[in-house]
Amino acid sequence: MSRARSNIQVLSRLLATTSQPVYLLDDRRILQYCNPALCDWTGLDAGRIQSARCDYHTGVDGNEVMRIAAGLCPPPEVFEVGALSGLVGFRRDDGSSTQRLAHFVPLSGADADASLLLAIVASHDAERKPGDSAPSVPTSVANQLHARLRELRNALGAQHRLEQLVGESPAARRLREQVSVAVQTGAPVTICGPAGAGREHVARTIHVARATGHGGIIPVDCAIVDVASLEAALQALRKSLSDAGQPPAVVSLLLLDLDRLTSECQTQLLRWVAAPLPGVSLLATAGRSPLALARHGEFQGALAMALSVIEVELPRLVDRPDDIRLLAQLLVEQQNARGQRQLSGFVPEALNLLSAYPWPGELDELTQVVNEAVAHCPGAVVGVSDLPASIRAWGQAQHRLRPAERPIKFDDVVTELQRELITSALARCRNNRAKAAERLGLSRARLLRLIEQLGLVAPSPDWDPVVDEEADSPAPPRASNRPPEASDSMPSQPTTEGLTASEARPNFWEVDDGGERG
Amino acid sequence: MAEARARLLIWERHGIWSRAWRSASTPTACRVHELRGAVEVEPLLETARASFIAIECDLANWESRCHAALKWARDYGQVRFAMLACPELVPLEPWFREIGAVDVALELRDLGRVARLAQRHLSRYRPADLSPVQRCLERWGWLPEFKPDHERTEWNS
Repeated sequence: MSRARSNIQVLSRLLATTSQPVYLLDDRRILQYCNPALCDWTGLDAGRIQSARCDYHTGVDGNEVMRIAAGLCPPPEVFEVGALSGLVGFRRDDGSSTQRLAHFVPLSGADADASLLLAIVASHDAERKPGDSAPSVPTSVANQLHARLRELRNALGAQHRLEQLVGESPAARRLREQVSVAVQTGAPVTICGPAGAGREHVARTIHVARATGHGGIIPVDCAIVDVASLEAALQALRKSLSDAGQPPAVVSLLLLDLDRLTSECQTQLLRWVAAPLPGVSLLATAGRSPLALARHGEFQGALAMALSVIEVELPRLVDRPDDIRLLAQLLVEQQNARGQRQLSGFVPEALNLLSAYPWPGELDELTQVVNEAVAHCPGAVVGVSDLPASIRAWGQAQHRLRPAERPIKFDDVVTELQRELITSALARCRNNRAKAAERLGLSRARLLRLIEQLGLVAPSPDWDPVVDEEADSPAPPRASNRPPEASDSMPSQPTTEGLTASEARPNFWEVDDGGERG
Repeated sequence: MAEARARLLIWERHGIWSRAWRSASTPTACRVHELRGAVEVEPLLETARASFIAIECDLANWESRCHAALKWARDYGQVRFAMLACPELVPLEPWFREIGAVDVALELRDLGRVARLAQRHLSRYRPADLSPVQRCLERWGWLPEFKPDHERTEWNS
């Protein structure tokens, strides 16, 4: 008896002093024991982590204990196949993540039904080689996918936190309050606001912050979805719900641009909403309030009421100019966090310009402008000259008269089109005018007349063959007089005057916008 | 903000999905730009910020593809993307949707559904900013087709 007590004391002392976290799970995956090293690693008291259930999922959760317990869960097959190794880890509250190699050993008791699982975790984080996407651990493909998914979900969740909704204006404060209410209630929420104002970001923030939600989120773009696609998305939702585990798992269905949903899809969605699956949270974004649309008969009232229990209104940037400075600074710091270059912010003149700009594209446009400015900024502070030309031009346009618009010259456009068509057809047909005429649907005589009228010379034999897919011979080198191409395919060829082809050739649809962004 | 332009981009290795896409599309459907790597996609997004990207992925490259898709969705707010996944990635379908994929095709017969989504998305935006002459040439398929470069190293794979 005394020998047994002595062994227990030795074991207790060993477990208390080892730097390796050790914990014990029962067959229901409830954490029955953990040593001090595990408490140190997780930052949780033994009283908080013990008796937590470790479910095997990768969801992002606002509840710290559930999130960490999920990170400690062994692969489910451990009770079937015996001892194995795997990665355990979790995201800390500061956004950083930790991952360690763990050895899981199933222990069978005297009672055959009862079993325990001993987990011994490495004392240091798993090392990664540069370029490796994941630490190399000899586990199954499914376990590797699970580990990577957990990391990716954590990283994604870290981007959508309440602290990211910055602003000191009354509108921004009201937004945060509304979001807090939405998070606490768990009721269906519709976020209304202009496009580009960050509606989806707010919706995802609510999803991440809801304490009971550790499932995924399934977005549906209502502006383009049809009945078949909606059904596929709902199937994915059911699958995500079954993957997330037992309740209180919550999977969110995020309906983007709800006000643009077709009537057929509204009917289908209404049928689904009438008998929703347990554990599904409904979030939606809209340019116009569905309730307001329903009042005018432009949206199904029952669906609007079911989805808009709480309406969160997103303010426009132009209505909160003071927040623009904070948001611009936040965006610069997000860039700092991503890259190696570190910038302190903007000079006051640049901030004034950003605050005065009307931002028709809302937050999306601000993000784009700040990213471009940061990319072009040579120093540590973004100046006015680093801002995109469109913003600077807008600033200058405030102080000068709008120039006259340049008219389109119809005859020039038609002549140019004729020239391009004939030249391309000749090139494709290897200067065979009869074939070119046939290709263009012209008589040969008319083609010759047009060639003469337009003053076209026969294309050189080394004409660009890229367009000539029917050519039998090998492709000769590309010439500089190739037809104007879509700017997407390859860089414009320089001309003899030092201009690019697109610059040398007038673009007849290009209209001076008078310095305003379109 | 300048009006967004849109293109239909398919990023895949071997052209199988592109061929199927073309055959599933009507003659008036948008032109398919077949691309072999992220380095080819980026410049096109710069000039067509509301493009629809269909991204092929398999067990070896799904993660890098997800990172690229997330980055584009972040940098180009109007971009929409769909995943063209191999059957082994069925468990990841909810995840692909979670990061913003409007649809996930797990086999070729799902392609029609994705193509319809793409067509509806692209119809919301003007086509790429071409001159009238280029627009006419493209309408008749006379502009140089994209020639996917198999020699290029694929980004992150």
